[in-house]
Amino acid sequence: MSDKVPIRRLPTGVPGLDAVLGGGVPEFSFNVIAGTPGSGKTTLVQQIMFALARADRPAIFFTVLGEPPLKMLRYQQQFEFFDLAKVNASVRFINLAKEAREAGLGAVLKRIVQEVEATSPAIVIVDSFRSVMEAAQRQAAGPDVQHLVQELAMRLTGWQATTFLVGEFQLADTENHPIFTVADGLVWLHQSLDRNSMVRKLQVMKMRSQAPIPGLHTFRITDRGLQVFPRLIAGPPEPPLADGEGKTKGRPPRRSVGVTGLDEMLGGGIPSGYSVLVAGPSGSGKSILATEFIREGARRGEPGVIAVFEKRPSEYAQTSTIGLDQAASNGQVAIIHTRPLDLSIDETLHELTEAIHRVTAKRVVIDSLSGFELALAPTFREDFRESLYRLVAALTGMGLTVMMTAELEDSYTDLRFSPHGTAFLTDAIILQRYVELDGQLKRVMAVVKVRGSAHKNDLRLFEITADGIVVGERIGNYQGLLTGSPHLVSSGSRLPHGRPTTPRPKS
Amino acid sequence: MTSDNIRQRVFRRMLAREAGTGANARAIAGAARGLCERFAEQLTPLIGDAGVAAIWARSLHLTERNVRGLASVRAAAQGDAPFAHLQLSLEQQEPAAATEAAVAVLATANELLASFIGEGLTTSLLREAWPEDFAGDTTEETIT
Repeated sequence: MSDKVPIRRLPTGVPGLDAVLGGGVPEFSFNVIAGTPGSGKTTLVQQIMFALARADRPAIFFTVLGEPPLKMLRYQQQFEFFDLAKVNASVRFINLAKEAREAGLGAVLKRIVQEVEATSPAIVIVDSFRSVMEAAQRQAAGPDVQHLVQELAMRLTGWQATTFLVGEFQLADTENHPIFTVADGLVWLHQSLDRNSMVRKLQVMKMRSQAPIPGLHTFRITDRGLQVFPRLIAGPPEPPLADGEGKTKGRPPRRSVGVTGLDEMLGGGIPSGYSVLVAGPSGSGKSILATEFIREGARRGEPGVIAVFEKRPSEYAQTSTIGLDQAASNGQVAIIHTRPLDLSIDETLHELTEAIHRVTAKRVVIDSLSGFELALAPTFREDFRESLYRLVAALTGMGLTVMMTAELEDSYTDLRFSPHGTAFLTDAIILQRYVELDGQLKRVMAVVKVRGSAHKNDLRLFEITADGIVVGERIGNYQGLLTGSPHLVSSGSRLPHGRPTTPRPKS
Repeated sequence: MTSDNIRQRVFRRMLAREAGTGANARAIAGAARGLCERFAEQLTPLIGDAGVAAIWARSLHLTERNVRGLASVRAAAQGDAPFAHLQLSLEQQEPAAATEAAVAVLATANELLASFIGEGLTTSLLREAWPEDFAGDTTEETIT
């Protein structure tokens, strides 16, 4: 049995925040919630307060200078977490503006301590502490701020209160402001503008006794309050071992795509846990192939999730090939259409993960990467490759088989698999192209790679019918199909492996 | 019955109880001041003295249109002891008029506060000071 003191961690009631903090707020800790005006500080602490407060764990919310309490109460009660029944029961609001105005920092802190010692609240919030400090600094013979803050921290912790001081601090303040030295926890809220998009981010700069997730985490404020999307930290994906690997190693099962002929081209389907890129020009059938993949999964008892970034889910289900709308209504398939244009990768992953757990998905489709990139806030588009890398790693790390579509310009001068340079992230690539044959525009498909597995190298014709994709035969007797100017060769004169007149592949 | 009428009924009953049966204007004025001060005491911890002063000034402004003698109160009530001026004004009126003026101011302040922070929170606050008069839930039917 350990003699070390156990530190209880209080759940904040803010979705995603406990994970970022490293397990919740340490009981009896002295914390600072900092950020610019409008960044969500008051909403955050009130959400925590209403989640934690109960009859045997009361809370006091001290309002000082700053947002007038009349307005604060008016606006905050619009949030779902604001429980009127708790006000003056387990939650008390006390205004200290008069003390701050007339008697300064010392009087404010003294009154806080008096109230705390009189009523023994478990949760104490002071909003805004910055205004208290400023009032103190305006005094001619300014008090020893560090001493007063240290004493406050000691008295509140000694009285078994978990404290949150709210303030409109600037990042530069962290270097020399005594409050940051004294605080056990420091949570910073940011809101950044990039073009017309505003993104909220949260950073736990310190949290004594535990390890928060480092970095900036996006959050959203809705009628329900804050929701934090913990920044995903994933190592490089470990692709499962496919057929052809060492005999002693396990082989993942294959996921049928549901298109006769394509499974064969892939060497027996897509290895489970792989990520697959389906690349092709507009209208080539990428979404239909992705839908077939999900539909086949539903048929085989392998539920799926489709993240649609272009069409709306209802349109997607209706226009897709048969059965998807029914599979969706049966709970075999979830179609999500996330809020466009200001997403973060972590919010997308959160929505995907919720849907994945809801339907116990084995398959995921992202349709398309171009739409996904557009749906992200501009600030996240800049590092789209890194974001996508983390997303794919997280999904495949969960054992899901992921299919992503990417639209390509139908260029005949070079051969790219993704406009994002993301092809290297994926374990398999299926390429779709248009070719002109016998005076007709035909669709062809090829499997470019399946990591660690044998696959066919054929270029095969395919058609999109009312029943879905039908893969035809390998195109023989032609060379230079991908150059846009194929020419017929006789079987006798054709080179065994065809001297490649195709452009050099680029990923 | 509207919630305004209910508010007036509640404050009229409270005033009669505090002033006593058949009270003269002086007793009514004293009781009205007591109720106002209790009202303010209840609110000050929550919305601060500045918040109370704002509610009080607006309530007087809204009430003085219909109630004689209150205009001078608002002008004089900006400093310390704001309710003393109301008391003085009411003392100079007939008992019935003093009652109506006091009830109107209190009911207006109550309504104004409810318009800012909601009926639920307002009733919950007043219930702490006057549990019997603001018993029950926050809807108008349950204000007794």
